Amino acid sequence: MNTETRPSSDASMYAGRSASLSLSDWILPLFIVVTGLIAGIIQPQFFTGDNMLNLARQAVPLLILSLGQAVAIIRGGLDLSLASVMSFAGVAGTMVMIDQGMVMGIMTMLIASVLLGMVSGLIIAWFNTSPLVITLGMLSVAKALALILSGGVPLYDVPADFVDLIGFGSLLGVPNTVWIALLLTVLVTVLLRHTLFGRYVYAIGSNASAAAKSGVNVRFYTVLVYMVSGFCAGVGAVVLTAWTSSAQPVAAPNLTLQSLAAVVLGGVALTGGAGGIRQVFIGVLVLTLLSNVMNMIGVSAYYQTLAVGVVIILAVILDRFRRTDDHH
Amino acid sequence: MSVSMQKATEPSFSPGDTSSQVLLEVRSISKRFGATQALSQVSMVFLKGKIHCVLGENGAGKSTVGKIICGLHGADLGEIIHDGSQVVFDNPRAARAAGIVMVYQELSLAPHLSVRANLWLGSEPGRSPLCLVSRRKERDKVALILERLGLAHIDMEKEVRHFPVAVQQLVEIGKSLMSDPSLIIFDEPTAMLGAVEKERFFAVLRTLRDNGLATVLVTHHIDDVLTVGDHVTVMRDGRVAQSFPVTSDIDADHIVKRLTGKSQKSGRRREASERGFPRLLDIERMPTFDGPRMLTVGRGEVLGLYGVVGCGSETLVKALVGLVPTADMRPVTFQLDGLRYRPRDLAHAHRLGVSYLAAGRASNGVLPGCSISENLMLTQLRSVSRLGFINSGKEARCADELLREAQVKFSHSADPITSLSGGNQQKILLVRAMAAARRVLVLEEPTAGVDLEAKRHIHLRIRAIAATGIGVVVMSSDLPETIELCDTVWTFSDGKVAGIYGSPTEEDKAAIVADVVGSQCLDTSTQAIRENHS
Repeated sequence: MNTETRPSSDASMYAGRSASLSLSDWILPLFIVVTGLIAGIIQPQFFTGDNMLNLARQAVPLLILSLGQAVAIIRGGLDLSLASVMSFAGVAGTMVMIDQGMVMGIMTMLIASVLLGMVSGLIIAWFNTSPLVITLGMLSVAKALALILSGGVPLYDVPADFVDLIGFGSLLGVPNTVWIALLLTVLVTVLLRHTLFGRYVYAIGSNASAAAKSGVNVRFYTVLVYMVSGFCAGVGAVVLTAWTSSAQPVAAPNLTLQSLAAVVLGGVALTGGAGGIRQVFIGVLVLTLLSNVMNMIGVSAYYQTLAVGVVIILAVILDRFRRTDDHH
Repeated sequence: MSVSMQKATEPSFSPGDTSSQVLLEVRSISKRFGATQALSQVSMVFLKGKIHCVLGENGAGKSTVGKIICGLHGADLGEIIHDGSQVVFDNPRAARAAGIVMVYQELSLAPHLSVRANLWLGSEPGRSPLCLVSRRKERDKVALILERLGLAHIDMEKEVRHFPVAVQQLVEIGKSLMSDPSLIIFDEPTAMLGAVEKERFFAVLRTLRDNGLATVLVTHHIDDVLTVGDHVTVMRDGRVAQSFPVTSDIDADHIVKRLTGKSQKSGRRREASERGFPRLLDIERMPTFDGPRMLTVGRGEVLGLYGVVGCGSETLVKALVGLVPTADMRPVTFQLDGLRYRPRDLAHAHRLGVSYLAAGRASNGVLPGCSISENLMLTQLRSVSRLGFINSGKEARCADELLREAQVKFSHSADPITSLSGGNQQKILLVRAMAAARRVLVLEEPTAGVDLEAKRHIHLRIRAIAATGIGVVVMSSDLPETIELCDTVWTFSDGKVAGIYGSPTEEDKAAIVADVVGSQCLDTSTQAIRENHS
């Protein structure tokens, strides 16, 4: 039994703090530093400010979707529809934007994706079905809607003011897309750690029947969770349309699985109830860094994919070792 | 034992207790679950500042009373009077709002949340999802409650799963204190607690009583009643058998007499069954109340293990079938047919000829998507297949033969198993387990939820397989069944074998119950073991 009574450091309210060799606490940060150093030695331009900004910009879409994915996973599920919801929101929002202007367009993207998330959430909550199957279905539905709406053709006439402001604008030398991603990160962190919503999401993920018995409205919060993940997909749509100045009906389809990988890599348990945004952030950083460095060194795309896969599998195995130590 | 029993038959109190102290009263409550009459005409009175024990055997209906009071079940008949007016609680939340909470035996904690977050879960002042949760404000109340529980020293920010179960149990109790209740019902709270934690829990209970709360302790341990009870209601078969204040002249034997209708001292004791059995399974260094000793299960013997939840019989069964490593049972070791028996897992035990029918037909037995024959043949596929290919003709013949033997009513063996009644499903599972048993057959609750006819038939089948020289170990919470079916009964209490009864009869019932519910009653049984041993 632990007899210490010192006030806890706030970083670890929910994260497991007992393990001394925690993946996200030690190994991954070490991995980031070592990878960075090696890259810097081989290719000195790695450490230039330009590349750092480039790295940050590359991380943005993955980080945004991973935040939504993390909320769904901590609740004890997952969201496979993120990228296709994002594509649909991008197409729909761009069409509105062309007609009604930037603000209406952005609003459309956010509202459309929140609505699709809400539909998934309602079905999952009311029929008590598996999030895997429902979001897989939503993946197809959203993809089809985007293709129908756009006629299968990417929209390239994204209004210039939108592209200039969000896609290529910057503040204090940092691109606006990066600011948006950071802002969303802070928002989700606060949401998860300091609000009732956050506590209930962890409680449901940790033990749904205990949460229900304690008086938590599990259905309501399940719907909210998928609305939040939908919202993240909407923010992703805003950033991606502005950055690529186009709305693709099938935009970055790999991003969903990558977000899943980033969240798991960081050490968030797929069973729910555990993990935090710090871990997600580190997971995203590792994946983005890996692809950035390999691009720079000139590793072929085939080997890049291989390397990412090996890193994810190794990370999960290491994590399993840590967990078994934890439980004896 | 010359206590007056006149006033005890009715749930009223001595005139010294004024009616203003009555917090809650249940009047003539009846409840049916399907074919079982769980409660009939149950009346109880709960007073402020008193610890009220509800004592009974498994299935006596004691937990059901609690669940009705706290709004989990509705009563079919009868009424609940709270603070002088009649109330109906539709759900536990309504009961909680009225100050009535129930603490269940199974934990309802979120393991990944801190102690503080768990205590507050569901009791947060805000209702909007975006409400900020203030750690600082939450701390004060949590510290207060932890102090009441004697847990002031633990780190409230640590995740609940890192604490031992006993602490978690206290946290669970703490959760019920968050709403400042006036009546707390504890459902078998001491089942999972060790001696030290039990003392701590009783201390908490006394504190609550001294603060004027009414507490209800649903239990099957007479010790609990004697240690903390102010008043005890004894239940038997869904009825209130006795209700009386626990005064200093009440002792365990007295309560056993009221619990079973007999004195435990009646009946003669035999340790060995009247029939001799050749040795099959030796359990070495098994802890008994007389110290560790070797116990033996014979070839052709039907052995019954009887005890309450958490008393140690489950552990023995799990070790025997390979569900928990035998190392967990140390220093106990098994010898099967003269060879060291150490199953690595269920499959290994199976290969060694030990077959297992787990309790919980729906969750542990039936493959609901599969046919009758597929369910049945699960343990037999090796004998009807070659190189991994199943010979379907042979399989069907084998299945039909087994089914005919089992006398199951069915139209076609390819029908889904879910088309059968519960009793027939159970027969199928039993046949499946029996067909795989070459040395030992371990059965958990073999007749749970089946009708009388099916039960009789299952008993016949068990006797028949034992007659072929297989050792059968039955763990049933149904005492009449255990007595009727088994050649020998071992009673368990506190992780040890409390008594051994050869060729048990109705006469032994009182002593068996006494073994299981309270340690004070053990003198005679230990005596019996000692006499037979020397």
